[in-house]
Amino acid sequence: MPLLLFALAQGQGQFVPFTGGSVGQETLPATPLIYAAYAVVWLVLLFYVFTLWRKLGKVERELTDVAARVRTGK
Amino acid sequence: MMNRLVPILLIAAAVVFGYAPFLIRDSPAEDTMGVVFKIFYFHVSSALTMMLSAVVCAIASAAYLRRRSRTADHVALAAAELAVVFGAIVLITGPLWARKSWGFWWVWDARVTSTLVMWMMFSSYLLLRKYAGVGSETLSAAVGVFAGVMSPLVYKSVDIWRTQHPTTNVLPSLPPGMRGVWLWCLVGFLLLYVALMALRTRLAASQAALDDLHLALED
Repeated sequence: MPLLLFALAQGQGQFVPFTGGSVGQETLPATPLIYAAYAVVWLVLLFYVFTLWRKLGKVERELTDVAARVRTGK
Repeated sequence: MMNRLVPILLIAAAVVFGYAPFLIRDSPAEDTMGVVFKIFYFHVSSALTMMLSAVVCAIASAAYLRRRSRTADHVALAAAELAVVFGAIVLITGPLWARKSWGFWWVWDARVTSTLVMWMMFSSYLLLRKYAGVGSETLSAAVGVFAGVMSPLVYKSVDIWRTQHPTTNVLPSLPPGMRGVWLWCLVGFLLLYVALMALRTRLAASQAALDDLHLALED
């Protein structure tokens, strides 16, 4: 029995493709979890790219502006 | 050179990410986990990208501590921020996968806990940069080295300790139908990572130049 518990506590060591036909008998539906996971990935990455692009544009505009002020001594 | 490559990298990443859902839809379900296994493709790719970013941050932070190079500091800051972004994806998609395949959202096992700790260390790096004031570059570089050194430990944690999380053996043993899809997603994440690193490093350099100019203006 302890040996069995030890075996059960091990993490999965290999992924095997499912070949048994339909996988429609699962109790907790997987599809909403998959959609949620992919939505998170897309939203996080798009939000980050958008904010990074905006910040970069703002800083570079300000940099050009301040550099011009330094050159003219104002 | 890198600045000219960024749009190309972003377009390539968009193409890869755009086609990935079709590959994932057609890929097989996993024998014990079922369809929810398909979260693996983005979860593991973002985890590896986070670990890569952690290593980049550690190397750049060490270079900054040794040579006080501003470029190294900018690279370290960019890598730390991206480690937090990709780490957030890992820490959100992981529980969504775990809820179905393990039956619970979270488990305090070695891999999950060490990933959370590493993510918190990179978050502290960013908080230090924002709020520690003068000398925050040095303080955060020290944190960056320690946080980055955790990366190999996080990766090997599933082999060192007994965990609920799958071991590192799952990647080399992936069957061809799964491996191709995963590599496709990984390439997308890496393309995006390189593009974002270039953009974030440029932002850090521009911000530093702006600070210098403000100081020159005050003088």
